[in-house]
Amino acid sequence: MNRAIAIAALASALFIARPAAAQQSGWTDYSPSKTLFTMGYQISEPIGDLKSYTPGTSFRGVTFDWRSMLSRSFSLGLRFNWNRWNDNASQVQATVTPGGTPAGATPGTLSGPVFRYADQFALQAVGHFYFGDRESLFIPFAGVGLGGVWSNSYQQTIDLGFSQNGFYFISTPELGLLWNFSRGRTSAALHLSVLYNFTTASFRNVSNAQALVETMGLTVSY
Amino acid sequence: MTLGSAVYTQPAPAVDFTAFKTYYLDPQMEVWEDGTQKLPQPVGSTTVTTIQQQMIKYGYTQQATPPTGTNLPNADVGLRLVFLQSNFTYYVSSGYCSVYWAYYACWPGWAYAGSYSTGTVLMMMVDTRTGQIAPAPDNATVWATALYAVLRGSSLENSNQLNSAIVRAYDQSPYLKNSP
Repeated sequence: MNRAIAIAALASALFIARPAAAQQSGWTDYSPSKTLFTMGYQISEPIGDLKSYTPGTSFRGVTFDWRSMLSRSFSLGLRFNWNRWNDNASQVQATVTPGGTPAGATPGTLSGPVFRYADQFALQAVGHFYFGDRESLFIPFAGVGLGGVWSNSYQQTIDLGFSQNGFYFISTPELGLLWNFSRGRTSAALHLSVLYNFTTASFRNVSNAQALVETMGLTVSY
Repeated sequence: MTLGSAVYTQPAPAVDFTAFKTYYLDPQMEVWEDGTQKLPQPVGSTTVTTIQQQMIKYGYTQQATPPTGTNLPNADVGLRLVFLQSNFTYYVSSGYCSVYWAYYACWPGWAYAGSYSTGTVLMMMVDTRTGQIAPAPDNATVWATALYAVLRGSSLENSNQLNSAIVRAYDQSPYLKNSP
């Protein structure tokens, strides 16, 4: 009888002690996120020559990145992003000077619809610095990306199409904010950032295609 | 995929359009299929009306009497439409020549000779004043127009697109006005 009571008491002690042990290891250990994944939607405004080529704001863009924390405030990683700018002009009129014609020839006039677009697929190494406490609700950050971009552009009038493509250099400074709305061993944050895409991509009358890009995304870290 | 139609116009160098008062429109449209001449087709009535309206707008008077035999029409300029019923996209449009009543006229060397697409209609205005025609065929053409991709398929059914392209050709050629 005494033995049975002793076993029951031991079992009770174990059941009582078990949550306390779990609480000890789960809530008091500090384990900051080491890896961050971001996927986001991008809106962009072309700048300079690219704006002349496709004047409007682009609502077609996506980004994915992976970052690894090297220290408490600094991460390195890789980013892929795609942006498309396009324009559809129903009527464009241009003066055409025929090549090889006699001096004094009157220029011709060509009018017609023009559809054109430019795609950029970029892959960059990215470095980010995070300001303030990593555990705070809002974490501002600054970053820069360096890498390559595949540019593909296309123009069409009636059934005549022309395309150009090439691989170019891209550099992307970035300012942003992470809003940690869910914090724990795995955290989730709203990612907001503004990037300046500078590329050496050149086609048609565009040289060094540039754009201002806004990202809205979700960052998951663990 | 075809995206709308394009219109190209160009006047001959140093041509004086105020010298032209009357015009004759060939009621037959030449048809060429991949470089081979086919039987001509009548110009659609709405297209004739469109050209009439545009020529009148610029001060020209129509001479409707057709020329006899190989004589020139009794007008200062003659207009003819040429349907390039191509099955492929061509990248050099020079080389077109045809008999324009009493002589040859060609797509002129002074005009743009770039690519043209399927369903293109050329509209040539030639000088038909007796004794005014220089020996070189280029010199007979005073106004060259290419209406790209205005006709699809093998017939002239899409006259709306052709007619609006003709209006655009005249609109972008204000120099045709024959009075100061």
